[in-house]
Amino acid sequence: MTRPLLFLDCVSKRYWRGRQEIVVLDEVSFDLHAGEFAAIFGQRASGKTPLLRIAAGIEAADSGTVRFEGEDLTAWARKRGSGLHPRIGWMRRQGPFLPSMEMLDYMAFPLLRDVSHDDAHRLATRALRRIGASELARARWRELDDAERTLVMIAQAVVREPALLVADDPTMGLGTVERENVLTRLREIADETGMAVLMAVPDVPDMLRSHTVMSLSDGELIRPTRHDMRADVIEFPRGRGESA
Amino acid sequence: MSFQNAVLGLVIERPGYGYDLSRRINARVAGLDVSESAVYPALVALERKGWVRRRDPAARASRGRIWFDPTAAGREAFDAWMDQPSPPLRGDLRWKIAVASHKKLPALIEETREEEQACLDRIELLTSDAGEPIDPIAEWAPTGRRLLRRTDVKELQAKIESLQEVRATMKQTLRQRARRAYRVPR
Repeated sequence: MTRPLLFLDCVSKRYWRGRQEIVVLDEVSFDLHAGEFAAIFGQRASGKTPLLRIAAGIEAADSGTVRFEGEDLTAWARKRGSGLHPRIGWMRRQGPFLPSMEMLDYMAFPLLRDVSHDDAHRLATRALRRIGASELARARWRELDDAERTLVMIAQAVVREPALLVADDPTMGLGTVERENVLTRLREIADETGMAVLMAVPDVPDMLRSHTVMSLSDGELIRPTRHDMRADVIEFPRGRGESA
Repeated sequence: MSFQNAVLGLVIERPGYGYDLSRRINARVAGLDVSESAVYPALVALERKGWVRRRDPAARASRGRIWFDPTAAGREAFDAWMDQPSPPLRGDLRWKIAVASHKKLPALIEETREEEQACLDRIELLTSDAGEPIDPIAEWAPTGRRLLRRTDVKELQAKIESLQEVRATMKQTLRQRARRAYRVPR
């Protein structure tokens, strides 16, 4: 039996709007394995973003358990106070704080706290290559179109080579061809590196590159029937460096 | 079969005649435009099964129309149909939603979940490997294939969205009815 990389068990989240209780997540459970690309479909305000934030350890659930690599992620986040788990990548939406920054420097900059200048550049170069966007290394934010900006944001999320990439609507604002190509890159990341990818999308066709599809509405997560039947684990393609 | 059951449900709700029943169906299920001539074959089939009984057209209250009443066997058959899970993606659920009563909502909520699960099963079957990024300017065929695949699942998206909406409304209805039942009168 393979231990899941990420495991959510009976996770609930609710808040109050006036006297009305809003159930954002109602005992949501799922697991995610290394190399698995999972997509969650949900309409507007269906609870996708809170679910991803909880899965990434950015936000705490009201009840339930979130385990990442066997560790209680909620307890980890509480102890740490703020910041992402170093093995989790979160796809951000903002560009660099200095518009004149080249993309390679933009991606390398946050790494300088932990690694040398050369290593930071090497990791940033590798991340851009992995996402098929090496040619953007010397470009500036304002010179990029929406699809290129999306690729840079994905590259930035995977620059530390995390075990899990979490992306909230990664294709937002893109045309069909660009969407397909971004999703193809995400699938490649999962297949070739063994990184797990968890993304939420408001469009079902954007799930067609995923291994696993789920839907979320009214706080309830629905999964295909094979999850009801699966005893413990489904094998997914592993990364080059991973043992079978 | 599901159409017949829906007609049976309406007769159980209130006895009726062909035109009346077609009007009531159209009021429940928008966009179908069911005619009187489509209802009569269903009524005849239900009568053959012994699930409805026609009144004497000569009776004064009938005003020359052929009225249909439910039989005990018809009520039993309708309950059995409502309670048994619908075959996925066949459209039975649509009819059940149209003719349901409050007490049937919990079972229907479960059915919407199963139906949504069946949609997800279909989507998973349509998922594919990463392949190469597409470049419609260089070559159209791969782009065309991907576009068609996207179009195929758009239909399932519409279905999932409507199931979610129906389920949310049914859950909310049950919650509100429970709250009202426990409200202390002033």
